[in-house]
Amino acid sequence: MPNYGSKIITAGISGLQSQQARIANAGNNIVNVNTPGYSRRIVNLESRASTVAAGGINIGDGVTVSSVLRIADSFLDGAVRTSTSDKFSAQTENEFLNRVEQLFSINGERDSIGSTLTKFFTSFNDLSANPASIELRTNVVEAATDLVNAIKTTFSGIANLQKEADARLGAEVAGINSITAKIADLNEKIRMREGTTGAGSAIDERDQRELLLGQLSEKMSFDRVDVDDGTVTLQLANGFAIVNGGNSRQLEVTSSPSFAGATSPPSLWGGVLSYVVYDYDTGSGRSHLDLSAVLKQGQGSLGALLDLRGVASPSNTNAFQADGRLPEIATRVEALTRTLLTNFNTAYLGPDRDSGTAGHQPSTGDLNGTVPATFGFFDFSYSGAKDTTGTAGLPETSDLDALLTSGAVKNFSSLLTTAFTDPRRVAAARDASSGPPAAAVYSPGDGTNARNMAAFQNTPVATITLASLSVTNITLNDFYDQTVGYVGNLSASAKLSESVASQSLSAAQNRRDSVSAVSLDEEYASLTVYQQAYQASARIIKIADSIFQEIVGLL
Amino acid sequence: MARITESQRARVSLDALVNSSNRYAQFSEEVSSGRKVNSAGDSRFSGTINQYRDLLTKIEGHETRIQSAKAILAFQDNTVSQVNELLIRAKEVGAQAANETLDEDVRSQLAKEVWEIRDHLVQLANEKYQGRYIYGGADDDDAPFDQATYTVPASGPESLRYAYDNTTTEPGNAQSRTINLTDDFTMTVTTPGSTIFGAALTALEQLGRAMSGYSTVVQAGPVYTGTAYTFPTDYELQTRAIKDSMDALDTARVQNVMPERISLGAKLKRIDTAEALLSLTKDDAKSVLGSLQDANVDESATNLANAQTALNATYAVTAKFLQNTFLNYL
Repeated sequence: MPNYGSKIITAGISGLQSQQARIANAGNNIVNVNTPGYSRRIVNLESRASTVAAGGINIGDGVTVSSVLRIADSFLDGAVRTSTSDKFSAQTENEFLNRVEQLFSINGERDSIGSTLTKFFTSFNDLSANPASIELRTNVVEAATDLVNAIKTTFSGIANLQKEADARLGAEVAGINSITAKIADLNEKIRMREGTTGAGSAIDERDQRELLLGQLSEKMSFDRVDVDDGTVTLQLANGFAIVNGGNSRQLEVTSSPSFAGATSPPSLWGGVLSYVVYDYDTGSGRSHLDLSAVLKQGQGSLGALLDLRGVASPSNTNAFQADGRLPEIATRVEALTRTLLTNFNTAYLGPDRDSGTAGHQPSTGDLNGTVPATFGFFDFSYSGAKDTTGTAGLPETSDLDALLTSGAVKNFSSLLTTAFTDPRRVAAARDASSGPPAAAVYSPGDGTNARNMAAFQNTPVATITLASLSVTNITLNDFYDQTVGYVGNLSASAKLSESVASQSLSAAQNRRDSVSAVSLDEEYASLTVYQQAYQASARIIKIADSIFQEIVGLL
Repeated sequence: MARITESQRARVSLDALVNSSNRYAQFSEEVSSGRKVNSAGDSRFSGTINQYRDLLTKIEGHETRIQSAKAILAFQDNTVSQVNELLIRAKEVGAQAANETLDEDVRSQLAKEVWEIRDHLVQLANEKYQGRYIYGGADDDDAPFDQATYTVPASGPESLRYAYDNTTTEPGNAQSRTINLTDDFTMTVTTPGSTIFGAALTALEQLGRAMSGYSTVVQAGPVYTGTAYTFPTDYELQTRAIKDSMDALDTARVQNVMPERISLGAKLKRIDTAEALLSLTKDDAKSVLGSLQDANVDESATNLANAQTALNATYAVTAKFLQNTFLNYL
């Protein structure tokens, strides 16, 4: 007859120990209910292998803790990371575009390019009704100044946003470098621990790594590859690994990379655009690998910042060739400025402004009878030669392009001015003679030129072009309205994207949390069960004790 | 069955609170601003909204110019009306003087009224509007009708004559002023004084000089000479000259003054029509802009009340939802 007394005690003790482990685990789950990145754990029990007693009766040797399992689903984690990247990308885009749309006010509460443009042409119309009126002439100059200021304010607003986006790249990359270094460190710890204690046992380190991967996905998109040794490799879309085992590649933001010339592509604010690069050793020196374009294609705040700021080829010669939202919007403002400097000025001066032949002369004159300056009405602050083709007269679009390409002028919007401030210099009249410039005569009550300039508002400009922008047969007001629509659609799209991305992220987080997060109700219920099991195990020992006492009592 | 965890409960509650707060803020802004579109990104019609705003701004400019045009045309209408009456009165005086029972002294006395009428006409022709000579054409910074003299007589009103820009030769005096009242409605709002007053003044001078006993050769244009009639030898010649002058007065009135008056009336009528059309365009633009941009305040107020109720309910539900756990029942 086998002795079951010791088995009873052993089973009771194993029960106490196992239930204690479960109670402890439940407690750990409960206290970590709000810990970021924590995945709930369960304690798996198994029947302890028993020794077959004499007589072949197998009762068992109690229970034991077989494993502690971290409950996580890598697919759900991946979905959360993707949604996180999308959300932070949309959030950053929305933040910037919301500020851009404020520059294109449509509620009439403050002056915009559109409202000042309309007032400018209206002031010319008013002047044509009483060309000699100093008040109306002053209105023309004031309206022109308002228009110039609106253009400058709008352009500098966009340029400053580009500058801010560029500056934020540094902070984002510093954050990325810090995170990837920690992930590489955790990779190493996980590999070492699980190499000795078995796969999946470094659960705290895995939790920390998942948390860091989540933080990294806020900043950029990446592909995750799980390696058998427990480490993860993180790659960009072009296959460039930023984390590989215990190593991380530190990114860098530089405005003078090895692959660019001394002057990188110019920016809207007058500086140069920086690149996100990886600095590596070629064996014969240091070199930079440009990652800007591939990061721009991705999501996360870094992708959005690059998409907003624009990414430019080192061979780009002007700020409007950069591929990005802000350069696109700024291009439209700049194109409008150039149209004022060329088409409007040409119309203001008359079609034959630069010929000395009789009958072909500057066809306007101001109130003093003076032929207007070469630039006519609008000018830009630049001390060098404005007419680069060498032809006397008003610079053409090609001249402006040449100045932009050479880098002599970064943009014309921030340099735009009126050619004069004296209201008497507004040329409201047209030449009344048919002789050469020297014979040009003007009547103080003639408003023909003013009326023609007002009509310019409704005259389609043949082509408005700059960088990749090309619009044909459009009035300035329509072009501006089109720009407002463009900005509005970008902003609305960004708002919608952020809203959708937020909902997607919530849904993804809920799906993940449904599996991995702690449910207090569940833990409380489990605690009750474990407590009961613990009490029952204790009862087994008490019963064993009673049996023992009975036996002792017999002695 | 899906597990519901604390983080899910918190997230669901937070999302609900954020959504309710956003809707509450949105409807609050709609009610307070009266607009459902406050920035370009609020509507895919933002470009169109801007277009209608531009149109309304342009219409304001059109309205201002229409009022200016009406004022300047009304001013000229009043002037031309006076010119017409003056010429009628001059003809009456001339008819009286042409009576062959009157001797040369009486005719000379009657001529004084003709000279008064002439001076009045000159005053009207050199009238200023807003500080500028309205009948000077584009050359509006000096008086359009300059004074000159006849050689015979050497003094007195008979010796004076007035010619359009006689002493100054600035360009533009024959140029009318045209303004854009709207984008597609252009109107000429001034007429050079030579057209209206030139022939009338010449006829008045001819009449006055004839009645005063001096000849004038008007057919040859501005003539600065003329001799005194010898009475009674030239009495019939004087009578014929007075009658010729009256014909010239009629011609000037019918061919120059009356057409100008009719033209001014027609222009004022056309402006009224344009103004009415502009008003309709403005109403339409406001209506379209309102439908695109303005909030329906009743609807927004109702939505705001609903959003407020929803927000309060969300607060209450969240408080209960997060508070309740199984622990309460253990």
